[in-house]
Amino acid sequence: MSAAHQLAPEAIASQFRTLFDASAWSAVAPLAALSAGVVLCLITDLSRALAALRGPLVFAALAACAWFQVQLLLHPVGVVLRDSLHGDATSAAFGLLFVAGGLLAWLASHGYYKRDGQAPLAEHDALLLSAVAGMTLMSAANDLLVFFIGLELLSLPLYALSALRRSRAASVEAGLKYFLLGAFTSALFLFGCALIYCATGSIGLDTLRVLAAPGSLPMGELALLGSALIAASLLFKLNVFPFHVWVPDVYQGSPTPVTALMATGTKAAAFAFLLRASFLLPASASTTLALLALITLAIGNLGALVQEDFKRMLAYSGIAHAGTLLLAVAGALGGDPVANGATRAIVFYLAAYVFSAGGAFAVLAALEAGGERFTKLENLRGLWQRKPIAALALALFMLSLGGIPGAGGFWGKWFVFEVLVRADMTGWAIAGVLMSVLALAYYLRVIIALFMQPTPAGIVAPRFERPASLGASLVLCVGAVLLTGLLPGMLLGLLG
Amino acid sequence: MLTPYVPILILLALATGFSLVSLGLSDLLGRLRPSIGKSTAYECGMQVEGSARLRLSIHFYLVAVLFILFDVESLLLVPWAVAARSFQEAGVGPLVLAEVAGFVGVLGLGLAWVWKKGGLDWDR
Repeated sequence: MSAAHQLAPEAIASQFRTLFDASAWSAVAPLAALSAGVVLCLITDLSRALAALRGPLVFAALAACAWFQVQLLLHPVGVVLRDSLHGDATSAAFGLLFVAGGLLAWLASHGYYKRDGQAPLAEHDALLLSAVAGMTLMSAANDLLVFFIGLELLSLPLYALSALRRSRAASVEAGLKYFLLGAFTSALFLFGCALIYCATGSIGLDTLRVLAAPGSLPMGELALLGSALIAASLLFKLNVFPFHVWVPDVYQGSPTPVTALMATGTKAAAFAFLLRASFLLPASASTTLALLALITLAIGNLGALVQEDFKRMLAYSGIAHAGTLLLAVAGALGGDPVANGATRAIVFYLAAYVFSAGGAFAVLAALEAGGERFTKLENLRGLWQRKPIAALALALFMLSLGGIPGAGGFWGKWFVFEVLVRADMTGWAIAGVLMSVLALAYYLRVIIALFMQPTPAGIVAPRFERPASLGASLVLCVGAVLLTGLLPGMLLGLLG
Repeated sequence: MLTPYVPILILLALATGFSLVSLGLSDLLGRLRPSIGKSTAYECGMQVEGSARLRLSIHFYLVAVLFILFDVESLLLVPWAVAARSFQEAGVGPLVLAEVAGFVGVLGLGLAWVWKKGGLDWDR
């Protein structure tokens, strides 16, 4: 190595000081808490004496992560580590959603695998924490490759988690399908990165934003193709048409706690980055995105209408919600999503969705673990007589997902359509509202089954395996859904 | 912007063209006299026996992944080893050493975990 390439000692020292300053540490702290949780979680699996520590450990890691995110939310530090990582209020708000999704999935997993014999529970918890860390990195990334590391940190654990019940064919099928398609989209993303780098010589979002300022990136077609590939891989993670076909099978086959994490966390993480990188897409892509969103809404809602399986219905409902959220992204194109309110609308919508869908999956997981091994809608009939509290909570979650005033989902939809109207896309907003009305049909079907139909013969009241865990999830979810529904100003105030 | 890559493209075209032309010409001009000796595998290893579609033990993949893991570890340690002296001169030597130790430590813990879990027992 020639001496000319070596930096002077003072230069190295000053680079270290500027790279690892206090703000860098506070932006990295949530990730560090989760990563430490992953490693320690695996260590507890090494001896029988340590096994009892695993539960408190997972909780401590999630709680520490949440604490650091709250600190970031209150005292944002901006972009750190050579413009590669965000430590702002948006990434912190998304980070808190991921912690909530991880916590709900973890609580739902208690007792769920009891009948699966030798289920690798320590690995389950470690993979779950790692997936949450991946989501956190995805929402904080300010660089295409940092995002990619987050994406893989999320995806690889989820592939393994969805195939966790190895003795069940459906679970293995879900894992394999998710893995093959996921690996394919990862390749698409990388190819998109390569094309963008080829066109601009950069993969940092800050640099790209400056280059895109005159209206589009330099080297038009190449950069456009790269952006389209990146958008396609994000749309896959978002379950948006035409990348939605895998969703029902994977959601249905995966263990219910894992499905809960996939439905809530993955979607939120991908939307977080789509918002940050939305400037890569030209403003004229708005109509295309809105059209994709409407088709997604139609597929999700019509698909959910005809399902007999509750879990599969929730999968289709998740597709529909992704469509609604994509409408907000379409409305935000061509401007700064933070400035035009799209980020705020999407965070709010996702907050309501994470707790409504997460709560519904929690009830479903508890019912499955309690002896009702089937997730058919008919098994929910008369649950009101058997388990009144769980039935009431489930009804509230359905109303929130459907967007009934009083529950958080209503305001989420309101803010999304507000973004569209402000972007002069009122026609799309009206179509979205009509689709939401259609969605009510299948949410109400669940409520009818819960309260107005008699328990089928031969079904006994389920005995909840871990009532404390279910209780904790229900308190958290019902509280959050009602809080966002009745006092939306509180959350909006936090988001600034 | 892409012009520096044009020579590679020319080389590719030349290589493809040369192999196509020489093979094509020998096919057109040469006479075909097959014999038993000619159609055996020449200098290509043993005679083939049985199907190539064997079932490999899953442990093979586990060991392969572990190998790659430690391969990558050494790959990441080399830059640090090369730059260690300049880190020391800059006064950040202990900090970087601690980071490297943390990295190796996490991988070591992973190895201990795999070992304890029986991932290294070949016949299990």
